[in-house]
Amino acid sequence: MMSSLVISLLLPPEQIQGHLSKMLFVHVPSIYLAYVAFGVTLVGSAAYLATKNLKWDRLAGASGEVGVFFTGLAILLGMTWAKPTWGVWWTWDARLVLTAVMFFVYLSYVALRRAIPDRVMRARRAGVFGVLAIVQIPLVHFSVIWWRTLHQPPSLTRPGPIQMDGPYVAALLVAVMAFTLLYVVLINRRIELSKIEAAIEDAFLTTDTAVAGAAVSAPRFDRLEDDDV
Amino acid sequence: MSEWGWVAFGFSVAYGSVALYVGWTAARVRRANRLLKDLTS
Repeated sequence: MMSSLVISLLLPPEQIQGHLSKMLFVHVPSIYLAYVAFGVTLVGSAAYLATKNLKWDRLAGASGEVGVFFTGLAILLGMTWAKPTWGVWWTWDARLVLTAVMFFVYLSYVALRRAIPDRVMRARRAGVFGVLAIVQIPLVHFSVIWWRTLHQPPSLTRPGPIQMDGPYVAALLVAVMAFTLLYVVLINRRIELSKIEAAIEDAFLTTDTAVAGAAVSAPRFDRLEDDDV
Repeated sequence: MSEWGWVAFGFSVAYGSVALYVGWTAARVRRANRLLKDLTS
């Protein structure tokens, strides 16, 4: 991450946007990782629905949360880039709106997971959600090609020759690799957390705990009868 | 704000958010480990 930061800042300014173009090296890797994370959520969800093995559900859940973080970060960084270049923090552009929709859809996925206590039911419902929600990614990615938008089209994945200078492409690849390593670290920690949470659920289920009714004693009818007499 | 000001702001948002998320995740793992230890001891 530090190498990526240094390389990005040392590059010469771009012809039109000047130094502002350096936002590319944090904005693009963020949205790329969001795509990767939601792709992994799809794989984990589909694998759970096919095998019923909860390790796939843990992978899907962990990746979904990390993906929401990177989508939110990409939106924030996009707004920070938009203000000095477009003059506004936000505009109702197809790419921006669809990215915001993707953020809220996957935020709902995380909320759904937290709302269902039973782990098998949670895995099944989140699995279906994780498979269906993937439709967001092509919508977001191709929105700049399908509709006329203020947001620029893709720099590297558009048809034809790459219209970016070699040093910029190299710096972007370094940034993407750095963010990918970060994703691997985060996903490992998040899966570890899911395993501990499952162990805590098991520990709660096997521990004798007082229930609400334990605090209430049964009425003593024999004493009532004695007092009445 | 100058171009460099915006770049510094954007990179601070990016790297700061990443540091916060990494720290929060580590803290959740530590807290969950402590809870599990309390429950099983």
